[in-house]
Amino acid sequence: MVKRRSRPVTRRPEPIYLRPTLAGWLFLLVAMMLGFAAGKSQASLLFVLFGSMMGAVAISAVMARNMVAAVRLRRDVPDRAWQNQPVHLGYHLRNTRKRATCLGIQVQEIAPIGIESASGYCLSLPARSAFLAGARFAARRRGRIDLRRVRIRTVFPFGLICASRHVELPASVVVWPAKGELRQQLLFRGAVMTSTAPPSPVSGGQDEFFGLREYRPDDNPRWIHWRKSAARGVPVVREMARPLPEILWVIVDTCCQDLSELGRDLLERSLRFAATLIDFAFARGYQTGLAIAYSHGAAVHAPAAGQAQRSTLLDALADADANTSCTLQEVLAGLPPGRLKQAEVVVVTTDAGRISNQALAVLRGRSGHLAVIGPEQLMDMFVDPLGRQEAPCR
Amino acid sequence: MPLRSFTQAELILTERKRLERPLLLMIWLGVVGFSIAENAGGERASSVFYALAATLAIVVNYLATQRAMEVHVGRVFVTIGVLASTLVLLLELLVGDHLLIVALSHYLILLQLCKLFERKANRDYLQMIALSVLLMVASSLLCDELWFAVVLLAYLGVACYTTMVFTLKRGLDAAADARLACEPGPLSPHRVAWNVSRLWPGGALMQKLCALLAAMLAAGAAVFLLAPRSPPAERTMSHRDSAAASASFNSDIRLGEAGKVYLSKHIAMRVRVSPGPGGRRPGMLYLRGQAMSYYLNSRWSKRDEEMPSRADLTPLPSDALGGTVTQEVTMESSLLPVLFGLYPAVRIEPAGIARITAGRQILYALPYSKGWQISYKVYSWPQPLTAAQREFLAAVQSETEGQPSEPASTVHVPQRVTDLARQWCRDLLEQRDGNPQRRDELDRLIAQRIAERLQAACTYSLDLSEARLDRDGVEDFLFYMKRGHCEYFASAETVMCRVLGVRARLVAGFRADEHSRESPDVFVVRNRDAHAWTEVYTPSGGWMIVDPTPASPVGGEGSFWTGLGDFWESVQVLWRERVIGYDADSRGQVVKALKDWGRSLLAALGAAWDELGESVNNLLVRGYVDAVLARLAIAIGALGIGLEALFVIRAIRRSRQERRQTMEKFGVQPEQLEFYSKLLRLLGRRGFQLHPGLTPRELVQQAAAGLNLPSQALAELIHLYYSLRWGRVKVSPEQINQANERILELDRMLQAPR
Repeated sequence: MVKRRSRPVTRRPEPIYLRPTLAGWLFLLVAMMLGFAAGKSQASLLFVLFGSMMGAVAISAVMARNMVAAVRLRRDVPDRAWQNQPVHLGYHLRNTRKRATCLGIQVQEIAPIGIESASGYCLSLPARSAFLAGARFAARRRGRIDLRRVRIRTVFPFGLICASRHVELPASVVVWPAKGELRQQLLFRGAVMTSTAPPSPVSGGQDEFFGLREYRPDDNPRWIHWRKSAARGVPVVREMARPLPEILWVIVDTCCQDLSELGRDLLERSLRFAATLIDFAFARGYQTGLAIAYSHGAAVHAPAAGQAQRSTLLDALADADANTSCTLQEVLAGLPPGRLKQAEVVVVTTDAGRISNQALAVLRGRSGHLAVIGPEQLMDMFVDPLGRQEAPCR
Repeated sequence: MPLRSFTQAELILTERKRLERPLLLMIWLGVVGFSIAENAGGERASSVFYALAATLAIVVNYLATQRAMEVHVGRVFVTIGVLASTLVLLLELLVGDHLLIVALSHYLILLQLCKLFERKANRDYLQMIALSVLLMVASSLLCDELWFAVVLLAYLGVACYTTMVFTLKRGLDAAADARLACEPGPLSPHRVAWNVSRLWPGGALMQKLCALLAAMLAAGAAVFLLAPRSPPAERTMSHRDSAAASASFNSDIRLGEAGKVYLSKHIAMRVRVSPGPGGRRPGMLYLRGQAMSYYLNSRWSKRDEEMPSRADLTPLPSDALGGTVTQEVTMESSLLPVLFGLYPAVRIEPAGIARITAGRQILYALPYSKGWQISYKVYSWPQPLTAAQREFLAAVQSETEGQPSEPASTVHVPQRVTDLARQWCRDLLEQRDGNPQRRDELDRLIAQRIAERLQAACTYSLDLSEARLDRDGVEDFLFYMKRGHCEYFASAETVMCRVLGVRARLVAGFRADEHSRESPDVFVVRNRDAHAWTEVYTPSGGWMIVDPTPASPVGGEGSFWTGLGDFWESVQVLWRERVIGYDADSRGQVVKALKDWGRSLLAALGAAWDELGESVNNLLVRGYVDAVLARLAIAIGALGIGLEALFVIRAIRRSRQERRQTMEKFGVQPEQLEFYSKLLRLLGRRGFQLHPGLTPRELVQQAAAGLNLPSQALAELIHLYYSLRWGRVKVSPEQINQANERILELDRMLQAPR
């Protein structure tokens, strides 16, 4: 995930809002009572106390306002995030004042619905200095979340007056479906071919030992298996096999006739399973492709490897909507036949009965391995992260 | 009592110790302030008890805090403590004789003590701060002493600091909670602390505190000076009057009031005294105001006419005028209706707006308020009187004062006072009984004997805290306190003379010996010069002054401490007069002074503007520069030079700062890198800017290709820059000069026509 900087747009200074806190209202009430007592009793000390209390409120407002006005903010927010996973935000605070220190600066994301955000806090920001305050938020729903404004506030010095300022920092975060765990091994290795490539110099390479053969004059002597050569009396070399790159097709059936809460929940679980599977496959070095239906049509992403492909596929899952028109047949029709050969195909559907036997047979014939994951299979092989109780992120 | 150690999170994150220590100090100052207030009201026992209890609790908590521990008891015990405090409050209200506000303040102290031994969270800290503030506010209603004001000032500073630290702590706690809540498991506080600055802003807090205190005190002073005040008659004192008084003329002398007397330096009057017969200037003035001869229940009341407030228009005999001592008195109208002068005053001439009634009373039309002054002239005859003067006086006095009344019928004192007087003057009484023709002389001797014995038996003091109203004032002075001020000495002298048959009376007025700096003939009479003495009457000598009051002790050993004590006394007097005694009149004076200042400022600005206009007119119309314009030009020039110097100094400082930063950052002198800046400017003018993502080497390669410049020369320049910037290589000045020359050559090449 790449963190992008939200560039603040040069515009007029944002207005600063001042409002008394609950403690401030109580303080004002006590001050008013003291003022009344001073006027009634004409005691000089009470007049001084009353004036000092009102002065405290006034200077609180002025000081808080000046501090909030002096802070410049820039936000670092990641492009992508997993659903229900804490995401780190970075708030770069800079004090533009020449001498005065800003104290107790709180930065809070004014987040749209679906985000439970935390606030960043800076205890002390000396003059002409910068500070990186961290914050965390967790997106509770997948999709694209637009962040717009950040609130800078402080209640320093006495907690009587809260000064706040809203800074426009537009940014967008794509929230991928939550990642769970696969209970069962779903992906199998594909065919291998004999290779004359030397053994991988790096341990843990993808080459597999295939067998022994006689030494050829152009072979590297380092390939010689000396124990076997001694046993056989002739030089023999190790022959390695480089497996074919694994290809995985994930086909997600998002057509959902049941728009009730149960139906939507089932769809979301399917999407979470698909995201988990894709992430797992990329970690295992698979070339992964995705075919998914949207309400406006089907989208097919040809298999590829790399982080960019991973992000593309997970973005596609994040953008899935409540589709009631585009069926699985349309999705299957959009698959390139040539890329299915020797590929593993996993069809994730909310209703396995919707897939016709004929379509399944055709698909099985084209692919190397086919698995259909319906709601019942999901229960067996997928640990849904939202199925168990987790501490909510603030 | 269990001890709990602060958790690591509390130590690192929430800065708990930094809050606990000032909070304990704040609570202690609040309790001390209340104790001072309560003690000033006479409640010594309970004030000491609560102060000691609070101090003990705070010391225990402080010691625990120093060891990063917390002393706490179970919530059950805290609840029991609160209930017990409530019970104490009810008992004090129902059974005790405390004021309601005192009882409530005791309750606040007990609640704070309960809170100190509770396991504290932010909510508890807030409650403790609120309770302490309320306690201090209640104390302000009880007391207005200077000591209390000093404690209040210290309390304000500590309270502001504590509240600021608490505000920061709440933010830290919220940040820590938010961070910890997002984690699936427990986190080390050190990891959480990355979110906030780890440097405690102690210096910044102190700076903010100074600014806050200054602003708050300025606001408090502004409200104090300018808030509308009700006239003195409409005041309702909600707290006890403090048992203290400022020394000043008192026409109602009442003995037995406990308290302390402060010597006020406020000037009551100025008296210009003309030299008496023979050109003698009097060294000390006894300015008589009022004579009293009736004593009952510790109180003196006048039976004699007020002297010398009555105008006397009787023409004086011509030969008596030569011996007259003239006093020109200017005094505050607040002392009216009493007028003061040397005795015997034979004539008074009022000045200003005054009228004389049919009963020859002098009435001034000015308001009896602060700041107004009246003037009058008194003619007195110095002692000893001539025969003609005595006859004249006798004639006048028979008409006005009458003969002095019989002594014994006008004083009512316990028998033991009479016995003491007889004991002191037994021999003189026997002589007087045996020699009636020497009565006058023996009466004077008796008066002197009593004065001497009084000075030997009693000491002068202004602290009358032990005086009691349930005893006769003279008896209390002679047999119990054995100390007092002039009123006590004069009262004892007068009473004892009276009981021995000597015609005496108490006189209240002023005794002054301070000369003005402007003229030796002018006496400055201050409030502290208010005095009481005795006058003894003899037919042959008239009323003779007998002053039994001993001189106040002067500074000898330990004069520094005495001086310090005097300084503190005068500060206290100033406090009482200027702050506690600030009323509607004072406010009016302040407002008037502000208005006058504003008007004078506006007038001065207006006059300056007119002058400037005139000068400009002279310049434009008549063509010459007058003095005003010349001064203005000089002032503007000086200001310009000053600003210029300021800018230059700032530029020099900024340059030095940049050089220092460059040295610290790059390890090279800034001028050594100047060639690189020139190269960038040269290429920038030709459209080749160094932007992010482009290295200097790549930039010059592009420039060389685009501008057809020798790439080798540019590469060497960049190589030199890299060596300086990152290589920390020592470069000779010749190399720098060569680089600069090379850049000049490149510039010439680029400027040459192609």
